[in-house]
Amino acid sequence: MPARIFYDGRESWDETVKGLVRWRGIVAGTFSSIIIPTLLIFFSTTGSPWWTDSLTWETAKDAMLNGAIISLAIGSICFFGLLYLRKRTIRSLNVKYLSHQISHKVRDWHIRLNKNPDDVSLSGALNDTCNTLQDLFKELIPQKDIQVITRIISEKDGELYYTTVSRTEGLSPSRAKTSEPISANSGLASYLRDRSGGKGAIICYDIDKSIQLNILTNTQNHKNYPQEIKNLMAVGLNAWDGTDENMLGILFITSKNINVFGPKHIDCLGGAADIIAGLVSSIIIKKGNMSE
Amino acid sequence: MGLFSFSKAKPESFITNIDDIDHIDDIDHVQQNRAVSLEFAKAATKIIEKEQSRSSRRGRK
Repeated sequence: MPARIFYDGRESWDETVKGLVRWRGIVAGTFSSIIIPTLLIFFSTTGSPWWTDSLTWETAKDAMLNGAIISLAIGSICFFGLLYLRKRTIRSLNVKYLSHQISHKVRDWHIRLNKNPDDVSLSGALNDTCNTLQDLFKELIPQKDIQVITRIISEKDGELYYTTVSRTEGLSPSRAKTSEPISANSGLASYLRDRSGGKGAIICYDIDKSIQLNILTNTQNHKNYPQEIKNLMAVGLNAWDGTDENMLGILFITSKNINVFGPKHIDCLGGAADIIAGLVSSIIIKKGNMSE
Repeated sequence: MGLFSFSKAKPESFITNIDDIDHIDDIDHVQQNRAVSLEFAKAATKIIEKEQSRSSRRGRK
């Protein structure tokens, strides 16, 4: 076959590891890992070939029983090993697919924006992209609650704030009524913006302690819904602001579970944030009629 | 570094405990940054307010 066209890599697990992660591969792998040890154990423990006179029914029965127990143990290890390999392979392909979908969606929003800016809303674009980001993190961190929130820079009386523009559906819809902007000059925004030069991501393992340390702002929504966010990661949305690179927003990944996020999730979060930041920059510059 | 590393020490840039950061290195750069983004923030505010009032109007209908 000289060439093939692919639109989606998720099904390629069918071709990986010589097909061992397919069901028939798992069955064949397990079966062969039972048969081969059985034969080896049978011949080695009987001590002499089956055609000699010294082989009795008793020794053969013992050998077969030993062989069956050991090969079943080896077979079970192989079966669960292959099952785990299958699960990890499929999950890894889904993560790659969803990472692709994020850049795909951002590209589509850029096209819509350039075709007709009135057709694009900042919250619509962010909600759509963040839903895919939520799917990506649900795949990365299975069986845990994952929500995504974005705050975008805003101004009031010459002071800068970050205002919530999108949040995924797992969070209470009533949060919108009591949502309040957080100051750019204190807490998390200040840490991300000023103290780490817009680089890096913050993981808050303990929300209440982070509030005490003034890393997080004690917002009304935290007081109203303390069970909704127990763990969070935050990263700056850094992109072009018409004059220079700046922190145009903050992307939060939150969970109501504890001990969910770790350093291994930072690159995935940072990669998504950089792509989303470019979109935020384009939408605000285009719709705000700013000069690029 | 050998094949196995038993040291728990991480590279310096890997993790910074948040309560270790207690100073801003370059205050001029910070102030300059804030001034630069004000125009952008004003444009963003207009867009956010417009979208929020549109969605609350839609919610009331």
